[in-house]
Amino acid sequence: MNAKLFSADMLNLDCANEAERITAVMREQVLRRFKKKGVVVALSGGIDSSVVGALSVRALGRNRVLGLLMPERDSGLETLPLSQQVASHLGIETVHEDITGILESVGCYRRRDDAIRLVVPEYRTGWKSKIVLPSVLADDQYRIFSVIVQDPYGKSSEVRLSLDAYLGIVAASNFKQRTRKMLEYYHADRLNYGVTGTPNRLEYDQGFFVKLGDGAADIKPIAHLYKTQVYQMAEFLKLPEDIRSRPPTTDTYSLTQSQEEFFFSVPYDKMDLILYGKNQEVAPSEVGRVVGLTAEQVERVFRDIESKRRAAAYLHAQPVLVE
Amino acid sequence: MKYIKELRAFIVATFLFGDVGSLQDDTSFMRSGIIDSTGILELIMFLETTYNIKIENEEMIPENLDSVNRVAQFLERKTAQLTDGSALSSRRQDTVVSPQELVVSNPQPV
Repeated sequence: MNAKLFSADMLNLDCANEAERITAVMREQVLRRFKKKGVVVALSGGIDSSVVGALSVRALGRNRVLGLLMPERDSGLETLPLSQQVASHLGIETVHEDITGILESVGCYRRRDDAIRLVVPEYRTGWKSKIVLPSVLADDQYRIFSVIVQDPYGKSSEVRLSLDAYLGIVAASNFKQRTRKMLEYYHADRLNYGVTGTPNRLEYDQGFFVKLGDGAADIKPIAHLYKTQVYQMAEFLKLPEDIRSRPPTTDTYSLTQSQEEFFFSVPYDKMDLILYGKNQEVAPSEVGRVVGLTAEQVERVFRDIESKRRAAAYLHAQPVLVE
Repeated sequence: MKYIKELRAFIVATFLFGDVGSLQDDTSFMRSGIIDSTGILELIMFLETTYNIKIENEEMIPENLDSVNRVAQFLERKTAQLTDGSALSSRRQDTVVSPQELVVSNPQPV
């Protein structure tokens, strides 16, 4: 491509045409191919699931869409009201399944806290935590996770994670996404519905999902859309302003965690353009000019993208068959 | 060079499952796909526990950790610093270091 043409406008979406294309595929695949009567959408109150919910209603009609609301102990206070607001706006039936009890039964919180105590022995019930990564922009440092803990008095500290602590925290936290998907398939099975997945392109490409958790679905209607395009689609679909203005969050840890802290190198609007630029083989200097980073910083993000793609290959892989 | 043999043994046992394959002392761990991001953490843990050093965040860079040669050179520099105690291993920054920890442990065979 001609590098001189590279600009933020390249991600502008013809939302009317794209919505038509997506909904046609949803009807064809869900109704005709899979012979399902509708879809289940897990609503988190975030932009991605809200757009998938709205597209599902547009494709199949509101009577063929079930919204699932599945907060848990560590969810943000705004999660449930925002997801209820979306469901109400769309006029769809909802089921509220607080998954805290299931997660307690399976030992999600206990196992996670035990893993945190491997590096923070004083960590107790009532404390809050999140895991974070250093910025990829500053230097070529490998990005090693740390845990930030906060005691009940608000005093916080950051400690680098050991391998067993990191793996233990992630493994326990993954119960959340897998529990939600289990319930999505329960309701889908009882209704003879399909299950939607809600990753956007950044998440799908870079592996920002849990295998057999939020990574599982029958159809992923927006996995080809960059995050900025999801926001454009949200505006086109007239989703509530509260949804469109909510900052992206993982909503997985008890301390508020941005997606940049946990996974992506830079905020989504820049990440979109850098990923697009990389896919189109635009020079790092040209991408940097548009996103406000140096060529060297863009090259670091390029390398981070490649690294995540290698890790994501396992997440995307189907079970291996020996034939 | 010191450390080369035991580092190669660790890499081969941990990441190559005993198959040396095409591993050279200057093979890039990341570019060759031998080590992924979780593997880097595993390597760092191995170095800290085996050689009783504390690797600072700013030291976790490819120049120090991306090949057998680079790790060996990095270890030489780090263990040399132990004479002034500046690279002692500690999980927490506020950990008090006892005098006996000033001794570099013998690398464990792998």
